[in-house]
Amino acid sequence: MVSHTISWQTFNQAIGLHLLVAIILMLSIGEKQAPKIGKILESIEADLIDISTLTTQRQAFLEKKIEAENKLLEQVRISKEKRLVELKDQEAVISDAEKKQNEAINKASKDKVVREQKLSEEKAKEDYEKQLLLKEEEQLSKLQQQEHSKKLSRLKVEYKSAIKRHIETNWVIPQSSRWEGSCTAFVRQNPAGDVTSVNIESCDSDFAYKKSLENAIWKSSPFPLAPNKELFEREVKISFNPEGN
Amino acid sequence: MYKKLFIIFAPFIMLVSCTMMDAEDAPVEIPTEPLLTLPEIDAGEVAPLEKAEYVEMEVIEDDTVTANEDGSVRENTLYFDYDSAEVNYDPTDLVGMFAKTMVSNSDATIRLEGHADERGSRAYNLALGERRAQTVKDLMMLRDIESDRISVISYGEEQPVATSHDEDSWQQNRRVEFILE
Amino acid sequence: MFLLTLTLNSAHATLKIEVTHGIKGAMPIAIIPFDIQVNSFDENFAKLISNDLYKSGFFEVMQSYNYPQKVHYSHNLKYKVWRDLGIEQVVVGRVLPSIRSDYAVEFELVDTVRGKRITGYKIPVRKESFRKIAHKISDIIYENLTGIPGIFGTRIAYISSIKEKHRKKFTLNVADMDGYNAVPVYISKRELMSPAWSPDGKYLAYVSFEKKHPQVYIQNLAKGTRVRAPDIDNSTSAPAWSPDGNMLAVTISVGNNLEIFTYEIQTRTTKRFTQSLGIDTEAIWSPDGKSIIFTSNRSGKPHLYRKFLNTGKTARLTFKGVYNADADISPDGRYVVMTHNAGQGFKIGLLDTKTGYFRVLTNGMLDEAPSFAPNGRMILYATEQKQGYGILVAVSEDGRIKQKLSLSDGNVREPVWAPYKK
Repeated sequence: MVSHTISWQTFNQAIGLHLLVAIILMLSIGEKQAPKIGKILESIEADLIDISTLTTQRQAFLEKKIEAENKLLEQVRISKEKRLVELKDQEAVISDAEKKQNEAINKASKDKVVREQKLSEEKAKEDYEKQLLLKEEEQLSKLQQQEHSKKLSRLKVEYKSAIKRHIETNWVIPQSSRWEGSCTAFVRQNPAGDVTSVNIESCDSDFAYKKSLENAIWKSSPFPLAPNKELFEREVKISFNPEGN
Repeated sequence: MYKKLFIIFAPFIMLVSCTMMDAEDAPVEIPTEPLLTLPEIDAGEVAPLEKAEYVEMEVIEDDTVTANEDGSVRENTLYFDYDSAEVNYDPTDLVGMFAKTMVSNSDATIRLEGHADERGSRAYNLALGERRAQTVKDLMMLRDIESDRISVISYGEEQPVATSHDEDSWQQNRRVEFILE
Repeated sequence: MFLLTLTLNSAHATLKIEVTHGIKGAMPIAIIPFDIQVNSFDENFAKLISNDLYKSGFFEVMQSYNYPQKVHYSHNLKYKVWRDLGIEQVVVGRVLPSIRSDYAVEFELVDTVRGKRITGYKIPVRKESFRKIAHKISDIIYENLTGIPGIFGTRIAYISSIKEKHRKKFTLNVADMDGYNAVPVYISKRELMSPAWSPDGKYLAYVSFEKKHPQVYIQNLAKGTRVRAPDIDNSTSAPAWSPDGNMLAVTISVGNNLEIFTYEIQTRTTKRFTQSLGIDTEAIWSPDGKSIIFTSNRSGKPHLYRKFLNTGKTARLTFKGVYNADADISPDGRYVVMTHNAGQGFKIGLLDTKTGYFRVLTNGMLDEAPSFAPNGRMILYATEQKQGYGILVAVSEDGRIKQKLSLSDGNVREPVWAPYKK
């Protein structure tokens, strides 16, 4: 309310109000409006100095000022409202964004759950299939083992047969010797088939016959190689049983 | 896989290769062991000839060789089957004949000589010849000729009358001869 | 993992193999002609040794024209070369001049399979002893390779006869086992039979017809002196020595029968041994002195029987064929060899008294008078040549290798192999 009489109280009040407005303006509007406000303030101050001399001018001026102040205040209020609206909008945007984010997060987590479920389902399926595969593999490897064993047996027979034939071609039986029953030779060989020792045991036949067994074995060194490394044996026990007389 | 195997076998291979040294054609060192020595061997140990009884070949009395040239049956010979000492053939009754002669000549003695063919063992044939002669002696004794007037001797296969290696000769050699003395 | 398990297993397992065939033959050996470094020496050691070893039946001697090497020292031998030819042992040798004797013979016996020398000898020699040395070398080789004592330096005795119309001559001879160096020990115009060596090899007992009927004499070979044993006028025949040399078993004609008696030489006492209606003759002592094997036809045909001296128990030994006589027994007492006939002619038969196994060794028609070598692995016997005269043959114990003895005499028979010198 603007009063017609200007007192020191009123003067101080006016200054104070101006300062207050200036501060509020500066605070709420910011730096952009600051220079404008400053100018206003300067003009206001200039006017104030002329106050004692000018009363009606002052009053009119004061009324003008108050209008201007009201306008400013309105401006401030509007801008403040605007700002508020802006802020509100911003907030709305932010909250919208937040909302969206949350929604997204929720969706993501929901998706994750679904995915995980899917994954575990798949895993279970995989496991099952793996088990099946494993079983198949086991069966296969069993079959393979059987095949392998069969193959080994066959090879073993061939190996033994090769050694037997080799010795038989090298064995000269001195027919003037006397042999009785079966004779056994304990032979050691190295992996290259080289004979390293020969011992005739449990042999009732005569010296010449025993010698012929030893010679047959030494002449047969190296023995035929084992067709498969698994079949090699260091110790070989050879029994001599000539058929017929 | 091979690596594994190698690791397992490596120590064996190393061990064995040390023992394989004299298996093959490794250069043979000149034997340093000396040869064994035998004592000197001297000549034969059999009796020198002058110690043995040496007899000149001479004509043998006729009575020990009593075969006919044509191999026909002798009047003083009985023949026998293979490996047998039984008198199975006496067609002219030689036993009787000679017994009669001896009865009429009381100081006559008779020698019965038994023989065998060449087959089989000599000592056994000697015994066989003796058995044959003995059988004939037994037969003569049955005709009352005293035992000490009949001597028995065997020549086994040592005095054959025929020498071809066949049944012809063999049959002729299986015999007992009556030799009056 | 699997492999590891297997490797562990193979450390304890053994490969078992059964060999059922071989090459039936004899030990393959090569004897390289010796290097002669002595002038005017042309004796062939290698040939004589080859012959000895071949005759034994134990060896297959490779022909010298196939030899890949003609070396004379063992260190020059390439073992693999010989081994590749299948030769398991090689003999090398040399004849070198010597200061102390006429020459020296060196030889080495080498094992090509193991690649080392088995033995080697250096022998001083006098020229005349060449054959003896070669036989000695054969003995050494034989013994080293068979584990059996050799017989190449042993002697034999046999009867030879010459008959022309009415002239006859009979000789008792002693010769080397290959027939060489025959020496007449007794010569007679009357038949000689059944020689028998004393166990110490110093005497020969034999049957002589010089008194017109068969009588047994014992002759001292070194001195040439004789005794009648037993000293009786009965017909005596088929002498055999006891293993201790103190007694003779003889066949004596008593009454109308022929029986076997044992005669103690020193005390001149006889003791009756057999009693049967048939023929009992051809006694031979077992090496342990506990029994006598003889021929008897008590079963109807001649067969071998064994009678024990302490119990008097008699057992028949032969059942095969229709004729088994004239036995000889091996030095180990296990094998009995005899004249045997199963309807296909007279052959030499061999009986294993341990197993009862019987085998015919020869395939002649008139084979007879078998005699064991003192190592029991060869047999000497007599047979007829087609031309009608008798020869002697040495056969290996399995009947495979037969070799006729080279004898200068005409008609030979009744060989007996001398025992080892004691």
